[in-house]
Amino acid sequence: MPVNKEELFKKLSDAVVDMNEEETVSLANQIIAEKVDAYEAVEKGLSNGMDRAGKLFEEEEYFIPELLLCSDAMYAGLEVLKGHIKVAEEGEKRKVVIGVVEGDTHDIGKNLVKIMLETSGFDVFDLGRDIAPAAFVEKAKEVGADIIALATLMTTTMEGMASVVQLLQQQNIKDKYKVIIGGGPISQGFADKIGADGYAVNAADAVRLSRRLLGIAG
Amino acid sequence: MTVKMIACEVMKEELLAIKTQCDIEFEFISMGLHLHPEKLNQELQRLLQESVGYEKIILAFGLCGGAVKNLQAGDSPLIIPRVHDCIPLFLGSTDKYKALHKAEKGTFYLSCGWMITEKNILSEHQRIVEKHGEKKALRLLARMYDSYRRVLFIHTGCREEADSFRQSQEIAELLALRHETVQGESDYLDKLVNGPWRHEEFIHIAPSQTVQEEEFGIGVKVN
Repeated sequence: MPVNKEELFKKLSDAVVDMNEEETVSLANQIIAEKVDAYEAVEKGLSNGMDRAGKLFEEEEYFIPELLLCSDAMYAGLEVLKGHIKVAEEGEKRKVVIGVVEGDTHDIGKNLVKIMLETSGFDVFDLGRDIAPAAFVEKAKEVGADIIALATLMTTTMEGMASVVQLLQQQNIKDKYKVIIGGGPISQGFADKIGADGYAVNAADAVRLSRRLLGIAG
Repeated sequence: MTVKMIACEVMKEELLAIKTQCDIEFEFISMGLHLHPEKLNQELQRLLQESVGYEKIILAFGLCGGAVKNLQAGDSPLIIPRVHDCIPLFLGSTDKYKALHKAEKGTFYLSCGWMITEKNILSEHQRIVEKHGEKKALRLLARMYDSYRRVLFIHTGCREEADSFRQSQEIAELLALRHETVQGESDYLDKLVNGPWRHEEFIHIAPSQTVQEEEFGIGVKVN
């Protein structure tokens, strides 16, 4: 009897929402054993679960500890699945330089985005937190990045994002990179104002945005 | 005509301790909303619309994670301190806050008002210990507060400050952060209540106009 893929994905998503690490791992193993597409399982199972957890946070059902426990479960599932994800055949991975802007040391969100991007086949260079604008630009040049991803939770440090765009413009290399931004106080309006290429509302959205900007299918 | 002040309860005690020079009506908003800027924005907007016929409305909030962005003033002029959060208000000036932030970016600021919500760190921890065990609970705490290096308690002279102070020490201990204190100053809060509302320190919004985040010095357009 063929396995019901959708049902497995739903269970996987539920296990993430329920913060159940063991169940997530066991379902991920089942997915591999049944030869279900691992990438689809990540997207429709694991990250769907994180999306739902995010909604529960908005509704004040969940708090930060729950979100972290959900991400633990997601990460455990990812460990199982990631070796089985078919890497795009047309060779080289697209590169993302990511970090939290200068003056801010909150990096839970940035770490989630990093994991999701890696899962989706991007090569991610994580600069960490409290990073000066010039460091983003230098790293992007050094590794030949496709995307520069900037995060901040604080309103006091949002200007650092504008500085990165400005530096790229001053050096006439803005066209070489897509700059994407995100974090609590960030909005599409702010992205437009500072000349960033896009704004992502959460980690899953950051993946969709990155793909769209680079013209990658899916 | 009366002045209305819509204020966050984080500074309730400090504001009520200030001698007012005119007739001020206070309305305090629960701190529970500060983790959810969009909901806080909706609540503030609702109150602004409801507050009709005042000489002016003073909003004792900072930009607060973007909660104050896009608020539309009602039929009265609106005054807002030009701060990102309440910490400069407790410290007496933005310059003082900047100096402290520069000295240690990973500062977890607390005051008696902040303990209304932050004392939950202690009970939350207990809840997680019971649900997921001590080991997991400590690992979670380490990740949630990983970006902090010190707890800085601001003395503002509240009545129950000794309790808050002790709780702030417990939090520092739980999170393995150093605990320091600083004396707050009432200058900025005094000006918030009684003026003068100079443009360097306060944003002035005309009736029915909208608050732009540029007023707080962000989102300045690049060429």
